[in-house]
Amino acid sequence: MGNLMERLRRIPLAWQIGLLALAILLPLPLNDYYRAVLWRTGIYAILGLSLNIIVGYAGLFQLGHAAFYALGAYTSALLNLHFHIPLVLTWPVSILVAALFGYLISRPILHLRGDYLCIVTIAFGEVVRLALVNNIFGITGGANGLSGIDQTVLFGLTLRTPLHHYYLVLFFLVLTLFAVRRLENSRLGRAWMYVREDETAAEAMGIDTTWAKLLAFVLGSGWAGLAGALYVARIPVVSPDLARFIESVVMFCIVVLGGTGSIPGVFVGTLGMITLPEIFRFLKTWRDAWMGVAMVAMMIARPEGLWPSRRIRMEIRGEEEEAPPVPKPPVGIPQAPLDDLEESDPGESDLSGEVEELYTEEAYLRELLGESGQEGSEESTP
Amino acid sequence: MALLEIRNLTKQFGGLTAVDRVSFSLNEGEILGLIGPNGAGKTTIFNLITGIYTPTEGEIFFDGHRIAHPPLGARKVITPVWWLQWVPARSVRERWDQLRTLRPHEVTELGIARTFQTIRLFKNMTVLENVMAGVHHRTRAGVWGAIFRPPAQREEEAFIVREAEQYIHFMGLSDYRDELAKNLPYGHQRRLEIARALAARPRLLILDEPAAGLNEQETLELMGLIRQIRDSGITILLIEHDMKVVMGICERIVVLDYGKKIAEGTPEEVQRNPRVIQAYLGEEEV
Repeated sequence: MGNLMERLRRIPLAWQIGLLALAILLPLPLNDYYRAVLWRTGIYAILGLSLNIIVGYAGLFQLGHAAFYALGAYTSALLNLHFHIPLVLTWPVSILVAALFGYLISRPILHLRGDYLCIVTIAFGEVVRLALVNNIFGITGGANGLSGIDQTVLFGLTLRTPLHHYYLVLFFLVLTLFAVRRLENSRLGRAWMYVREDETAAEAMGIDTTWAKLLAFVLGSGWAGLAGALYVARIPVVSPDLARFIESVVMFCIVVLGGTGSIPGVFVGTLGMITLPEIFRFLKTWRDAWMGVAMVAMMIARPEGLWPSRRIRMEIRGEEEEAPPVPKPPVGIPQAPLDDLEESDPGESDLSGEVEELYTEEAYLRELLGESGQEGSEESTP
Repeated sequence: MALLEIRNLTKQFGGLTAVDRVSFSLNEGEILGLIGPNGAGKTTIFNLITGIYTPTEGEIFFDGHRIAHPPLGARKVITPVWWLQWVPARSVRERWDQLRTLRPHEVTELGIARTFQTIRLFKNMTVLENVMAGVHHRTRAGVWGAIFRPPAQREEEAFIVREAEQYIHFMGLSDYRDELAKNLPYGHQRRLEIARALAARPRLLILDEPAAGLNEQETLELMGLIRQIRDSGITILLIEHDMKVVMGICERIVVLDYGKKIAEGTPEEVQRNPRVIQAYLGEEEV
């Protein structure tokens, strides 16, 4: 079937350049409103890609991602307001602060399984939001948030128009894409996949699963912090709304809707969750209802997402699109149903099917005692 | 000197004693078979050695390292000591390392690799990628290497592929290099598991029923391979139900029944041992 890894990896250069050119030229004929929509799309694409590291690659549920987004935004805003540090210089700090919180929150809970982890991350998101609302340490400005943040000055150029900010976000989006694609095809990326596929086996093969999961969390959170800082770069007001639970859900949906673990999927998801609702704003509340219906329909019809990664589709559907010629097993191998074997617990379970018949206790005994073992196996023990 | 030494190992699950004061040791370069009726505690011992379970009592030593011992709570140490790992003093950290139990990946790093009774491959990954997992702990690249791909990292990636291919070739899976693991026939999946374990370059290879589900021909080939692995200097501990395999390649056999060791010796000795015969036949007179 060719080199699967190579094919998963390669995107023609022409496509890359074409898409980049499209992204650069797209906002030019549009008015400022749509340019702002594109900016928002870019922010959420970065958030989606960062969450995709956690949810898609490492397979960890994270429903509190907006907390890290807000942490990044508040860090940037506070440093600017209190210490008058130019926004550009606060970006690395935003990343570090969000990553640090990502580390602190994930370190004690990484051994939790999917659903429990999910609950803890939801709780963490709420803790952050409530802390911000309650004006923690008297610096977050309570429910009103913070305002009066400087404009972004980049190399002497003040970013004023939505177009400027769009290009800023686009730059970081391309950077994110570059990093994420390289992470996916690296030793670390493979470690994430091993953990996602079978954690016990990964551990037994010498992969430090805590290290892999922790890095996924820290990288994902830190990068969400950058998205928060980019938000502040354009909107000089931050409020606890950034950390609302629904924001986390939207981010989660972006990843799942397009296809968990798939980079193009994140873009499809962002289009569906952010861009389209923005364009159809004139439909008012109907818009949300339709979104809900569409998502339910999609989860039934296409659980693997709109543009899934090949691997995840196989994991979810248990099939491949082009069946490779399965080599004929030599005659006589009992074809045990592999899925059943996988499910059985690590205790002293039996072999399945014919194998079990071949090696009943009695046959076992006969062999052990060195008898000929020619008699029929239906004969029962005395 | 014994490569692996199990002392007085006990594991209880609630009221059930799965392994009951078992002791045996394994010399460098030997093939030791662990047999016993179903539920005798063989796989539990494997899980204890590889750090998936922690023993209730007893210890396991591998090459001088204590790789398994009861958790602190079991020895009535109530003081929480987990914070010791953060104390910068080296002596304290060393003490912490002695107190805590090793995690499975650390056991693998010390040189113990295993296969599973129920095949646990990364099913949706290729054969090559599966075997590359074994090379993981021998390489170092992290986030920095992944994103910036310095020459050292590229070299390392090439090394991982080269190593993996070597073991794929050794297990005769070269034709399936880029096939998904789940598409392989059953016997080849078993071999792939062994290739993956070998890629971790262990000193002790633990095989949990490697011949289960294989036909006569495949079993013979497997026995040849196991001997070859041993001849390359890897000690082997194996659970197997197929007596032809056990009697054919094991130099020593340990027999378990209801979690207890009931016999130990050469295949001939074990075959004649009355307690072994009784364990397999039940209480009636033979």
